[in-house]
Amino acid sequence: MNPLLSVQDLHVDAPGEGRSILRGVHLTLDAGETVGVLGTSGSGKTTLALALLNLLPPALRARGRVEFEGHDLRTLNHAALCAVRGRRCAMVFQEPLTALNPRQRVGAQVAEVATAHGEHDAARAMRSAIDLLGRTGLTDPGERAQRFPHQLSGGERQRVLLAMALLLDPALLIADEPTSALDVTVQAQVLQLLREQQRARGMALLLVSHDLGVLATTCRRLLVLHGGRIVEDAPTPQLLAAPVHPHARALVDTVRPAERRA
Amino acid sequence: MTALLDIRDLVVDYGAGNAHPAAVDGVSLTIARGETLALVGESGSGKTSVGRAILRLVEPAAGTMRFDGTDISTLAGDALRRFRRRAQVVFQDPKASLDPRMRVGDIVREGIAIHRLASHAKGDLRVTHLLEEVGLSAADVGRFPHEFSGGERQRIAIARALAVEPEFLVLDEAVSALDVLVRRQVLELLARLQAARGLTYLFIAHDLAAVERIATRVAVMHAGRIVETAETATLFSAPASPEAQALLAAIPKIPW
Repeated sequence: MNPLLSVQDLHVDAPGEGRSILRGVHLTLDAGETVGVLGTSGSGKTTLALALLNLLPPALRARGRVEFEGHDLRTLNHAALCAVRGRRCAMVFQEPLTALNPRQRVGAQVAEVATAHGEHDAARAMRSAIDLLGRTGLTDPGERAQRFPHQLSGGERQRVLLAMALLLDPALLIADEPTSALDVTVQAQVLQLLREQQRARGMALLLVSHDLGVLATTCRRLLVLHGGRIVEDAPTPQLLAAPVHPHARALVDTVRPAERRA
Repeated sequence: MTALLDIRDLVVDYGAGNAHPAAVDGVSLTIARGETLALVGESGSGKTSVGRAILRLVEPAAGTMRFDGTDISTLAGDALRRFRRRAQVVFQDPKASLDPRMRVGDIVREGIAIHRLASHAKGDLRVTHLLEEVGLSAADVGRFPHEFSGGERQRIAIARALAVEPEFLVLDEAVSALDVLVRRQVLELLARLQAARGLTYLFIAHDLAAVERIATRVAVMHAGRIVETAETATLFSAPASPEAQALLAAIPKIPW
């Protein structure tokens, strides 16, 4: 079986600054698989997430192959790419206040995902938006849908983003630090929701984070990104028990409880 | 043993009217000399306001605060300045707390000059020693904050705080913005400095996991009040309040 996502020798350079951010990333992801990308700041993890969907800022140059469901996303024309984004592969960003339109009610923003992808019945789009907002744990979703982003809490906003991403039942969800800006108890709730939705839908999840705890409790396989390269790729239990690369070892050591330290 | 800091029934109210509860609504706590008290709570719980009230960066509406036996809640003028030499702060974001147009040497030296703690030549030597003590080098005095990484900038903020030889530091989310590896190094630095200088810390954080290795005791805040105070090991093994239990349950359980 072909993998759902296959990245071959992906490079991203910042020519203006004369530096490389990604230096030959290889990764594959099967349908329904949960994979975590662990990296410290500056490791290139956000650049990787953006590069997968051709969302890099214009100042950055990418080369390499990003194959998703048999299409090379890097060479797909704009219309074909738009058909993939949102429908087959969706993304959740870290900061929901910047990812949401401040001047549009959140229900309309979720419903817009459906209408942009061909749903002609606006009322039906809104109904499915409200239904999904309810399933992501928003209390009184009909009322919340009428609110603007600033009238919601951080956790509620992140649930809205997740609803937008899940509306068309994507095969792959890319989530870049989706809980880092949240309070710890809200983070735990949103992670739980993410795990439930992943399992219920059988979708693949690529979760990008600096937090090994978040990744280890959500993903079955972990990749460690360091200096623009993947330096380790292992099933979660193996990475926790016996990290090989020194950087991976250092990261595991920061969360290893005292009784498990050598 | 007498407490270095003893706070009773502290109230901080930002004057939003009766409709809004006070940010700090009757907080009492003590910190013994040489210990680290962690103050943990979710955003909006009032933990930063407690730290700011102690430093007199906001005016308490009610309550008493005694530092080394002296009432600090009404200090003014020279007396307030003398207290601030003894109690310093490190904020979360050194990008915001360090003046981008000042050189590192001047940033660290400013407090020494304000409190007239050393002559110019001796001040230079002291700045060099401080930078080395926090893991930077003498050559860094002429550089600007933007030339440093986040962790290095936080080391500059720590050197600045230590320049006036304080006894007490408020560390307000001082490592929260740092990477896990850098965070660990800065926590180790803070522990070393505490041992070498006999410092007392109020360590403010939103995440219980962050305080396990540094705190002597933990106070959990919720809605302007302290709902539980316990030795760190006790709080982690047997949290009594629902708020502490929720914070503990929120730490991801890594399947070792």
